Formats: sequence, structure tokens, C-alpha cells
Amino acid sequence: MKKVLCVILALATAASVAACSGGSNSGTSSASPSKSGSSEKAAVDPMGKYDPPIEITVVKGFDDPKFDKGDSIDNNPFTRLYSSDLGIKYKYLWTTSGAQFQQKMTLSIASGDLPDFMPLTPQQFNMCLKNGMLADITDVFGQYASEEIKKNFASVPDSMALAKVDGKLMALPQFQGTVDQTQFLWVRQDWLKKLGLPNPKTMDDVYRIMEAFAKDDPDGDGKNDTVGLVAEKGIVEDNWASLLGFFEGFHAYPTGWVKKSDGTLQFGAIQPEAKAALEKLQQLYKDGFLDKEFAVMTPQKSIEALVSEKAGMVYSGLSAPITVKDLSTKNPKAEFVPYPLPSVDGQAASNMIQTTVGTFFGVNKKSKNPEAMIKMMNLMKVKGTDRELSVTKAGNEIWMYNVDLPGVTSPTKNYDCYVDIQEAFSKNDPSKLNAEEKQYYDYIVKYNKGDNSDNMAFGYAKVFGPGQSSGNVIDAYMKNKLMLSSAFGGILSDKNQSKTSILKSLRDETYTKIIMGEEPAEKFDDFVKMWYSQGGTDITKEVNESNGSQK
Amino acid sequence: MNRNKFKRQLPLYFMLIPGVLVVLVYNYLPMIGLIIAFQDFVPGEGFFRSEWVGLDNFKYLFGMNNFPRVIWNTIYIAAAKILLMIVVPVVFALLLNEIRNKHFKRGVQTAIYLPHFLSWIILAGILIDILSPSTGMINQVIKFFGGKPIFFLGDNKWFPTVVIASDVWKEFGYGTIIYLAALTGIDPGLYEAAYVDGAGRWRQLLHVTLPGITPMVVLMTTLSIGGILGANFDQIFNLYSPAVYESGDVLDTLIYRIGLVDAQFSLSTAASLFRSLVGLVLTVVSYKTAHKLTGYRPF
Amino acid sequence: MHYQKTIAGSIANALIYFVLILGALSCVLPLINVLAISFSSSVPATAGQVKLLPVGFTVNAYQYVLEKKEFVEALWVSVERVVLGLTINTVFTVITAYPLSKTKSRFQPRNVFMWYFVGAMLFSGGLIPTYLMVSATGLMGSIFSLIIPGALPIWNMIILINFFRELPGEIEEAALIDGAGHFTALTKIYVPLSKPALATLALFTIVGHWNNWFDALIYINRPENYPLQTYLQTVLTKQDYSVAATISSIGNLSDRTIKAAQIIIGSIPIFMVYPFLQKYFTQGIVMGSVKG
Repeated sequence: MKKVLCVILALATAASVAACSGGSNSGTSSASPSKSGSSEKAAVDPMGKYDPPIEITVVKGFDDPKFDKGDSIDNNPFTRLYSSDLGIKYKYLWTTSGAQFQQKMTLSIASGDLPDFMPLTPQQFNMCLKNGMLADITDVFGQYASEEIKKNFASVPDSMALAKVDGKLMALPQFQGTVDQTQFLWVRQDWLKKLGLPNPKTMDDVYRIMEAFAKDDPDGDGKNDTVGLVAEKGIVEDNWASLLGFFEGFHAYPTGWVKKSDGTLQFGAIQPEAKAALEKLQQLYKDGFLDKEFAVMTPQKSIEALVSEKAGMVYSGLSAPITVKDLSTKNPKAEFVPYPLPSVDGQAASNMIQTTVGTFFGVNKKSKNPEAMIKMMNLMKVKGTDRELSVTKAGNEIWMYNVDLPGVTSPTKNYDCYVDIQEAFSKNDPSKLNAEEKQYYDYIVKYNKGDNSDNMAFGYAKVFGPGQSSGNVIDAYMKNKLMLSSAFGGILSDKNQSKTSILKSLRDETYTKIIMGEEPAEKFDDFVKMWYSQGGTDITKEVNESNGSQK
Repeated sequence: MNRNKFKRQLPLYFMLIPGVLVVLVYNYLPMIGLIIAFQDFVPGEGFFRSEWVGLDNFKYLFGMNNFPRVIWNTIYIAAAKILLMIVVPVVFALLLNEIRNKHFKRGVQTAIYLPHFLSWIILAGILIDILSPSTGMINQVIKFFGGKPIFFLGDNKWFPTVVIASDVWKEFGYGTIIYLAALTGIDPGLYEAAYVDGAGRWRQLLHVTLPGITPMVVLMTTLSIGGILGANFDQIFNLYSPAVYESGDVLDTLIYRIGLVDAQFSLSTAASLFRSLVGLVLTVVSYKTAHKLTGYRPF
Repeated sequence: MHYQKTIAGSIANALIYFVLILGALSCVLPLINVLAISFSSSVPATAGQVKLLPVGFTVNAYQYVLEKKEFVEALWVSVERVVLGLTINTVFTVITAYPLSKTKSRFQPRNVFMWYFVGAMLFSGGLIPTYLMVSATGLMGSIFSLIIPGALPIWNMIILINFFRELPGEIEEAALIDGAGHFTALTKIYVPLSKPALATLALFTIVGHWNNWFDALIYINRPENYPLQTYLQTVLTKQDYSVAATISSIGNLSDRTIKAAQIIIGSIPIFMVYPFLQKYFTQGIVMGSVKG
């Protein structure tokens, strides 16, 4: 009977919850509405310690924590650091796996159960704004952010503009890594040598290499089992083995916006350069030089192809060697090196860089200490690269179990690592390296000595090492200004935002059919018309209207 | 008389209370949320403060360029699966029923339940391998017999077949177990009687076994038909690619790609509501049809 | 089945064996492949070289997964979930199926209730409303959030209804004549006679609760309370090859051998329970109770 009563009570409660507002904000911290920062006013010290200590809640999505004995996600070098240096004790309101984080965050918003600050997708950011759940942090940021942090954010005014509503700063944007979006052409240099092929400088070189790799048995096993170029079904997006670099070799930018000579912004996927690239790809597919099974390739399968030496060339990003590190164990003689994107003409190929903001860090309007997040950021900027916060004494990597904070890593972090490591090698002095860089440095030293027992050594050597490495190519890109920002990095209105996915589908389907020869290249023109009629016109209009001026 | 009858039935009412309550709280009350299909829903603003848009969400959904194609694919694939997911397990159950050897029987039963435990991420990887036009086992066999290799997963003519066959293969173990249990429920006396009447193995099958499991078959069919618009997202997502959107894109994958899941709650709820309504209609129709045809009420 | 041995019968038998063996083999081979990968070294596994036998035999993957104390903790949570879930599900299923298995004449409102439950199976309010309800009823974070909302597995219940209906009607008559009420009839007669059905449903319930990993990620707030499959999901760092993934996280991507070990470990308990339940599948109904 008691059980029934309890259930009926629960029903009544539920009914009233649903009746009130389906997601009442009353559930959170029983705090009285806070007046931002006015309570702890004493001195405005960006790194001032709270005395008495304060408690805040945060959330995080993470997988498989490996701590030292006695430590846990609630008790580790980070919790101790924030507590000792800033007097901030943080608790996790909830945690979940990395993959489910966004969904759980949405549910949290729906139930009005929010931590003191949290990472939000653009849609979630809008949701919270509409419900007035976020604090105005203009003043708090101005007063508490350290010079370093302010400099970091000043370098991305467009992103900051996206986080402002009516001039008020409502969140801090997370930086999108820029150099991480570059693409290179990775090739088996030993195969080039073996078959007497040129280094890939032009697209014609690329075609020659593709043909040779496909037909001339580069892995020398006597079987006709290699492909010229491996690629995945996503073609230009959502993949590891991409064809984006191929398109960019034709000066086509199918994933972003370009400024045309008439001053307007147009979407790259429907430009004539893309058609030219598709025609060539169709030819290469027909000849069998482009992997005929690309339409079913997934990242795992592409990696498999490279590690099993069924492929020797791929367009991919800077971390490719780490992903295929097992190749170095399987065949220690394999030389896997990156080249800048070859071009179809005399003009060097550029990399399209997306500048949209993927994550906004919002502060809960009901937080008693809205400046807490900023203070933590200040601290991380100074101490974030300390050795103990990267790897524990027992050798456990824990840097990923820090509280999620914006603005602490620079958008060019991996390039900065490379530059610092090069300096260390040239001066033979690693003392100025931070903990993360030193880790890479040590691996590279091992690799140069011939020790690849932990094949991460190969990975890091090819990414950050001297000689032909990712860092080296990025250096060239930076120096020659071959990183082209997408002309539009803002957020579209809801209606148009949902249309972008439809258009993406259309693009992928059309491109695939043309490449596979199921549609003639002329179909591209029909595709352009459809792209406009299925939402492209509206989107282009909105993009051009907001050109330069964000909300 | 009525009062006595009610008194006798009282225990039955009591037995129903827990089930009714749990379902009320966790199934029916949340259905209030279905109203967001008629709103421009914003979480946090709640169910009653979001703007009402009537049938706009449905109009948008049905007006989407690929909607007819997607619905057709969904129905085609789901219908084929429903059909085969009855036929194949029944046949297997009947075959197993003929076996006397207990150990062999158990071994096979265990074996056929195994694919159920593999996720589609793993299975997709395996399928891509064995169906590969260049190195895959199946095409090796085709080539051996002089045929041209088929790009199963990249060809719109073959993709649905692969989807249907692989899902049936993965899940037929489940149905087989159910039908086997149903078979054991058949009164052995009926077989004896039939034997005495001169019926051989085949006749016994036709006149005792099949009628014996018909109720279960009718039930499973009726229950499955309600799910016809829900062709397996997990499977298709891991197997498909832009090359086969035409024949393989189903309602759930389209919705996923449009990003409705994360941001456009109203649209995805509208799609879900649409799916449920169709399911309800079909369930009622098949219930009544089954009753007309067999005199039997599925449930 | 009673029949005489004939030549046609023997051929039929042979064919039957052939088909069954083929079917069973096709089902077993992929799992053998996964098993082989789990015992292989990571390089050959990544290169796709492992078919039916391990290449570079090693138990590294198993060591990696099993040596953490979180694994054992999660295992116990799963056991707790399965035991609680099985008990609650079975009780709910049985006591709800029984009244609904009566004909309309014996129990007038049965059709109304029947469609009430079928409706719940066909319609769903969606993730957010259900989440809010779980939260409102105070189950958030508790193991019961994984059990109570699904306490009545409707599909299973309908199957049981049909089993009950197939039992001869005289049973109920006999019981009532003997002065037994419904509760007694249910517990002393119907349940014992339904062992094959109950065993089958028990298997599905156990498998369902054991394999379900998603709900815990949404309703359980602390990793130490995760059931096993949920925990195993987090052992594999998300396969994020996108540009946003950091350098180190890519290096940490679990390789195929660990994924394979995860599947095998996650499936073992089921294979231990299965044979135990199997013997009930093949028990026939004891008809003596009716004839008497």
C-alpha cells in the first residue's frame, strides 16, 4: 500500500512539474539569486584565493580514467591544485561518457539542472539563452581575466562576437584549432624510390603515382592487391582519409565559403573548380587508380589499408602517423612522409580552415561565483603545462581529466609545440619545453636512436620531429600563407541550420555518383540548381547579410 | 450474480494494478511530451510555453525532398524483414524439432543465438570484408563460377538485400527460441493420436505441428507489423554510404543526418509520432485480419 | 513425434542436419573471428590479418580490461541489476499476463487493458519527457532508474499471455472447483506449467538487462555505479578522427584487440546462463494434472 501511495505522490508531483513548465529552473542550487561577484569583493585578484573556500559544480564527459592509487575523478592533482591555489572545491554534478556528453547536457538543460558553468554546443547555447539560464559575464570577464587570457581571446574577435548578445558577453567561445584542420598528402617514400617516381609536387605527379601504386605492385608481394589512393565514403568531410586535399589542389573548397571576385560569399561545393576536380576523380575511378571501394571505406578500414600495405598514399591530417603507427612495427623500412598539397596549376594549394565556434562555455545565472571559471582559466594558463598535471608519478596520463575550460589552449597549439621542439633540437636543449612538449621530444629522441619499441615514437617523430614531418609542412603553410579561412564562420538561424544538413547530404550523394560514374559530370550543373532550390538560396542570402557583422 | 462475479474477478484487478501504474507513470505520462510535435519546442521553456505551430512540423517533414523515397525504402526493408523473420525462425524451429539428439539440438540453439551479441559496428566491418568486390569471399565464389564481381554495398540494386539478409541472420536465433518453446507446448498426445490414425512424419507436421504454433506465428506477426516504419538505424548507419542513399536511406537515418536528433526536437518528435500512428493503424488492421482469417485473437 | 524409419525419412534427416549445421556454422564463425582478434597482437589486428586464428597470440587485451578494479565493480553492478531486473520483470510479467489471458466472459475489461498495454508499446513520449519523469520520481542516479521504468516488458508479457491461453481451459475449472482462488491457481498451477515460456522470457530479460548500456549513461551520474557494458563503453575512447581530436587522444585510441576482448568478456556470462535455462525449453507440459 505504501508503495502505491508513494507512486501516487510521485504522479502528483510529476503532474505538477509537467503542468508548471516542464523544466522548472527551481530544481538547481537552492542558492538565492546571485549578484555577480559582489559578495566576494575584497580585492579583485585574478588569481585570488577564496577564503573560506567555495564549492562549485561542473560536468564532464570522459572515458576510462586511469589514476594513481587512491586517486579518483573527485580526488586528483587537479582537485588538489584548484583547492590549494584558489580555494575552489569542485564537484561533478554528473559525469557520463565522452560520446553521450552532449545528449546528457541537453537533458540537463531540459530539466533545468545545471552546474556552475558548462560547455555548450551552439544549439544548446541558444537554448540556454532563450530560457535566460546564463549569466552576463561581461564585467566578470573584464575584471577577473588575466592579461594572458584576455590576449588569447582578443586574437579571435569573430568568435567573441558570436558569444555576445546585444553587446553583452554571455559565454566564452572555445577555440577551434586552426592548424589541426590542415591536410597533407601522405606518401610511402620508399615506394616512390622503388618505382622511380617523382615526389608529388603537381597534380600530374599525383596521377602518375596513383597509377603506379595501383598497377606496379609497390609492396612487392607479387599480388595485384594495392590501390592508388585510398579515400572514404564521406569524400570531403567526417573522415580520416579525405579527398578534401584533392579538391583543394584544384582550388575548390567544397566544405566552406569563398569570397568571389564580385565581393559576394558563395559556397565552395557548387563552384566550377569543384566540377573540375570531380571530372578528374571520375576519370581516376574509371581507370581504377582511385580505390574502387571508397564508397564503403571507414576510418578503420582506411587505416587497415595503410598498415597492411595495401595502400601507400592518402590525403589526411597532421596526426596521420600516430594513427597508422603500427605500420612502422609491421615494416620498419616503411617511410611515411607528408607533402604540402600538390596543385593543378602554378598557384599553390590552400587549406580551408573553418572558424566556426564549436563550443561555448556558459556560466549559470544562478551561480554564486560566476568569476570562478575565469579564475580557474587564469590558473591553468600559468600552471596548465606542469608535468604533474600531464602524467602522474606512476606514469598515468591524466591531463584529459582536468575540468573543461575555454581559452587555455592556443588555436595553434600543435604548431607551437613543433616550433618549440625544433628549437630544442637545434640548440640541443630541451629545458624550455613544457611537459607535453618534453614528452614528444623524448619519444623523438628515442626514434632517432632507432628505438621504436613503443611505436608512438614513430608517430610523434613524423608529426613533430625535424625533417619531413607534419610540423614541417605546417611551417611551410604558415610562411606561405596557405591557410584560407572560410569566409563565413557564424551560426545560421535555426531554419537554415537544419537545411545545411540536407544540402550536405545532397552534395555527398551527387559527388559520389559522379565519381563512381553513375552520373555524368554534367549532372553537376543540375546539382547546383538543386542546391539553391533546396535551401541554398536562403542560406547564401543570410550568409551575405551577416558578412562581417555578427549578431 | 453480477456481484458475485465481480467479487471473483477482484483478484484479477489487483493483479493488474502494479503493471498499470508503472506503465502509466513511465509510458503514458511522458507521452504528454508528444505535444511538442505540434510546437516549436525549446527545452527549458517547457511543454506549455513553447509556441504552437499546429501541423507545420508534419508539413515540413512530408515536404522534405527525399521523404517519399525514404518512406518507400523503410517500408520495403521492414516488410521484407518482418516476413523473413517469421519464415526463417519457424523453419529452423521445425528442423530443430525433428532432431532427437539433445546435445546437437542445444549446440545449434546456442550457435544461432550468437550473432545477436555482436554489435553492428563489428558486423559491418566483417560484412564489408566478405562482400568486397576485390577480395571478399562471396565474390571469390562468384568469380569461381564465372560471374562478374558485385559491389554489394555500393550498388543500389543489392544494398537492400544485404541489409535484409544480414539482419535476419543476426536475429533469427531469437525467433527460433520462441517457436521452439511453442513447439514443446504441443500436447504429445496429439502426435500419438495422429500416428495411430496412420499419419506419417509429413502429415504430422502439417496437421499437428503447424496448427500448434500458428497462434504464436500470428502473434509475432501482429506485434512486428507495428514496427514497420522503424527499420534498424544502427545497422543501416554502419553499412550505408552516399552511394546507396537511394535504396538504403530510411526514416531514421534521414532524421539523423538532418541533425534533428540534437537540435530539432519538434521535428523528430513529429516523425516519431507519425511512425507510432502508422504502427497503431497497422497493428489494429492485422489484429482484425488475423481474427477474421483464423478465428483467433492474437492477444 | 512418432513415425517409422524410411529411406525418404533418412534423406530428410540428412538434409535437416546439413541445413542446421550450415546455419549454425555461419553464426559461429564471426564470433570466432572476434575471439581470435581478442587474442592477437595489435599490429596484425589493425592490419586486418586475423581471420579465424589469433596472430601473435597474447592476452594483453584481456589484461588491460580485467586488471582494473573498476571492471570488477561494474561487474557487480551488472549482477545486481540483472538479479533485481529479472525478479521484478518476471513478477510484473506473470501477474499482469494472467488476468489478461482470461477470456472476455471471465474478465470483462480484458480488451480495454490489453490495448492499454499495446498502446504503450507503440507510442513513446521520447527521451526528454521520459528523462523528466525518471527525475521527477526520484530515481535519478539510482540503480532502480534502470529497472522500474521498464518493470513490465510488454512484448514479453504478450508472449506469456499466449502461453497461458494455450493451456487447457479445464485447468482453471479444476482449480476453482477445488476452491482455489485466482492467486492460488496462478502460483500453484499456471506458473509451474509455463516453465518453457518463463525460461525463454527469463533469458531475454537477462540478456536485455545485461547488454543495455545506454540508459545508465543517461541516468547514472557517477562512473563507479555503471553496470558492466556501460563501463566497457567508456573503456574505448571515442573513435574520434575528426580535426577536433587532440594529438594525444588519437594515440590513446583503443585498438581492435581491446574492442574484441570487450565483446567476449561482455558475452561470457550469458553463455554461462544459457545452458542452464536451455533444459527448460525442452520440457513438455505435464498433462497428468489435468486428466486426474
